[in-house]
Amino acid sequence: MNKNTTFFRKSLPVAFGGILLSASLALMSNSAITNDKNAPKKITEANLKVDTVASGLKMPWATAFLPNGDLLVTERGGKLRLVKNGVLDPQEISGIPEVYYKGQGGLLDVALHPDYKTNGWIYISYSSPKKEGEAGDDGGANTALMRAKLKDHTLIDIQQIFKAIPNVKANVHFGGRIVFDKKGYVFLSLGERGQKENSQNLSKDQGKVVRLHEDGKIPTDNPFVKTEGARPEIWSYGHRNPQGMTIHPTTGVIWEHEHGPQGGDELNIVEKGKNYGWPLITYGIDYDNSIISKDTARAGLEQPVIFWRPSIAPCGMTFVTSPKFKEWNGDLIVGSLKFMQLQHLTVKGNKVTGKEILFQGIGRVRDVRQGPDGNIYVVLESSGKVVKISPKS
Amino acid sequence: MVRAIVNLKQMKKLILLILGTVLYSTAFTNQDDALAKSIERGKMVYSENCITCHMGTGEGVPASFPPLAKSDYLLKTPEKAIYAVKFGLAGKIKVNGIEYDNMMPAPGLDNDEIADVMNYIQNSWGNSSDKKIVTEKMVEAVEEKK
Repeated sequence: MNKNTTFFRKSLPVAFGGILLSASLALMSNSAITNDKNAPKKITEANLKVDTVASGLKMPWATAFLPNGDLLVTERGGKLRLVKNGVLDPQEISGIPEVYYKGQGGLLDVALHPDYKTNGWIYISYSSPKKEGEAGDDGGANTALMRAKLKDHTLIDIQQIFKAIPNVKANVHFGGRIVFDKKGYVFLSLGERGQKENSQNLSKDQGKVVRLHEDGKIPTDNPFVKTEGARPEIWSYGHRNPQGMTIHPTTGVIWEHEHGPQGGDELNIVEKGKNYGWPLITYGIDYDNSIISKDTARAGLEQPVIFWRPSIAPCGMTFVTSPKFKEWNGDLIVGSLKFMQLQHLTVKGNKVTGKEILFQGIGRVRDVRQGPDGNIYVVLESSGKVVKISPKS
Repeated sequence: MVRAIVNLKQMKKLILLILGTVLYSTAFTNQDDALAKSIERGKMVYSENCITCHMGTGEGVPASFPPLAKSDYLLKTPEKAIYAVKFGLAGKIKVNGIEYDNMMPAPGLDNDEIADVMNYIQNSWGNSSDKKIVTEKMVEAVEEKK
């Protein structure tokens, strides 16, 4: 009996394993059959159409959807525009503050507060020239975040709620994406302004993602609030030039992509207090072909979900959560400035398992958004258009 | 005596020649110097505004961004290149026999920076402007076609 029990105990895991194995085999074959018969039709470019919803824009950077169906569009030169019924309103919206329009700088992102319908707040990021009393280079600039309300063609109740410090006299790497989470916080991505070592410096805002309350106050539970010398708004650091940022529809975690050096553009999952490694680790080399770091990984530094080689110059990104693109739900659509295309990234958990190029030659993509109608809207810098991608039938 | 006079005349000529050569080469060196300094500044402008597309050695990206190194578009029609840097460029262009259909956003540089970056790209990666310098005034003179 004793012997039998022992045998039973020993063989139980084996037997159980066997059952599991056959069960999973059955499941696998079952799912294979499902795939054959009931799987939804794969979305291909051929099933999709591209319609122009706005044209005549000058270097548009981002768009936001007003509840009445109008679009707000930023032009990098410093204008906020309105698109009504597919027509660009010739009258620009007044009230935009002075913008540092040079190199990659200018008027950048626009996003509506999640409760826009009740509070009317519009959030706008831009390259802000140095003002008196601010730290940094004379004639320099850095990224700022403002909010305001729209009355006809005028911004009112204008508040600058954040300015990245210090001002830097360089034309590059302003970041600038605005994302709201579902808990009342607003995130802003900041580029390192061409000073890579400052991405690792917690006393500067360069190369960081910051988290603020919606009025610009700093949350007391931000990761570096109690770190001496660190700027309390910092949420994550070690970024280069993040120009795509979006919130995961189910986990609520922020995903970000950034322009890396040559061959080192990255997709990252941005989490509290983490260091994304620039320039200590990178998959790329400098644009003059010099080595930035011999390491691609180091303890304590986060790895990207994927990196792009060659660099695609990613700009704009959205998760798909649309009944019109069922098969893509939970996946990412990323824009490429450099190769003038969209990339559909298949997402499984925290991994990207597939990459598909869409609409090669569509134009220099600045922004990718899912509209309230479930269609995907793309802002094209080169042609000055906003286009809508929707299923053909 | 006659000989001496001739010699004196020759001497004068020689002195003038030497003087002229010295003056000329000083002026020449000054311009060389101005060009060298402009190229130096232009390198910084390039690495901030141009390098991600036109690449570190001006080779561009096949089918997307035209090369600057040994580019006929740049070297034969520098005024077109100045125009592109000043106002941006959209639509089809032909560089070294290959057609490109893309868009270059205006980098928003000041005229002096445009002159500097022009001098840099015209004198890098095997390119040569034959010591000719692009000046701020030349950039200023290029006007936007509507």
